[in-house]
Amino acid sequence: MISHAHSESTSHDCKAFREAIEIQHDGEDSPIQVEQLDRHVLDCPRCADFRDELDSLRNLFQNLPEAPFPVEALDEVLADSVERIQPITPLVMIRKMGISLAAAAMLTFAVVGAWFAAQPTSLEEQYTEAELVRLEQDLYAIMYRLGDTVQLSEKIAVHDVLIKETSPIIRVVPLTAPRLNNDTETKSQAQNP
Amino acid sequence: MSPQEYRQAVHEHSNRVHSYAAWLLRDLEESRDVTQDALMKLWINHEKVVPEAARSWLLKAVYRMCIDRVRRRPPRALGRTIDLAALTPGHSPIPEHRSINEEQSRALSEALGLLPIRERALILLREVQQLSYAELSEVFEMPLGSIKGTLHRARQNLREVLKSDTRLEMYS
Repeated sequence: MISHAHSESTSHDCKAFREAIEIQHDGEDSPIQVEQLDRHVLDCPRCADFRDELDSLRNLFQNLPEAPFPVEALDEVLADSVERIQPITPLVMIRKMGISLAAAAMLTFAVVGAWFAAQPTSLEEQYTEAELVRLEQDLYAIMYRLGDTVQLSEKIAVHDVLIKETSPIIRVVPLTAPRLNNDTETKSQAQNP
Repeated sequence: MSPQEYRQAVHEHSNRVHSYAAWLLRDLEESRDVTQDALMKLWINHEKVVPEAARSWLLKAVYRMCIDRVRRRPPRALGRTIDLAALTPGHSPIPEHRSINEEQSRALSEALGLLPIRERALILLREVQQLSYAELSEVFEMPLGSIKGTLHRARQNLREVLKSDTRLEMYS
């Protein structure tokens, strides 16, 4: 048990009392009863000084100048959130939905348009019937020369290169198949199937 | 917290939170930025925070941001002082305590600047903002025992600095 008289108090007791004084000073539940603390402080000048110092420190802090938040900064914070704070009326909802729908429509249009643009145009749209007949004849001739061991795509590429010099049709043939690297290679391949 | 409660919390706590940031950072421009950021963060999280916890939440956010800023400062900027003329005088509820003058405030300001930032933050929250131990424990994410110990150490360090200051006769 903690002694009430200072003469009987040890330094250990004073430490416990000061801890309790500090806790009491902070408004928390002290492990030592208030009356017991008061009696000790009356008898112990060092603990009395300790309590006075805590009170003085608190007074200093109570008078520490304040830094009010600037009004314009407060307005900025509230302005940033005021739009979100507004209740969503039907008009606002329709306006927001309208913007969303327009954005979605534009995106869909762009995607579908790009898909159509990427589609290869049919030969019928590009050539006259006579030109197609001529092209088909040329292709048959080339395929006959190359035999079946060569892929059709390569045959078409070879066809383009071989007949470029002589046929005006070939100048407008779109090459959907990969081209061969150079004419020499093409010619040698065509000549040596 | 509803949007209306958020607005109320901003009006209610912004000055105290800004004061706390100003004394922690000792820089009014930085404290303004930090306070604005904290208030915006509260808005972003307003649905998760109850109105009663708004103050603790803000003080915790400010403390974390201040710690980050202080750590990023170059060494020469660590001893910066706050411009007391730009602040408004404190108003103690006890009339006789209002006589504490600017010199004494300056002495306290300088002494606070010598404390490690955690001790400075803790003692400011206890003495100025008057947070309870439980609230401090939440803000600093420390057990109650550690809060008491750190607070005791902070006060001890502060008292030692103030005792050697001739501007404060009460400590001489």
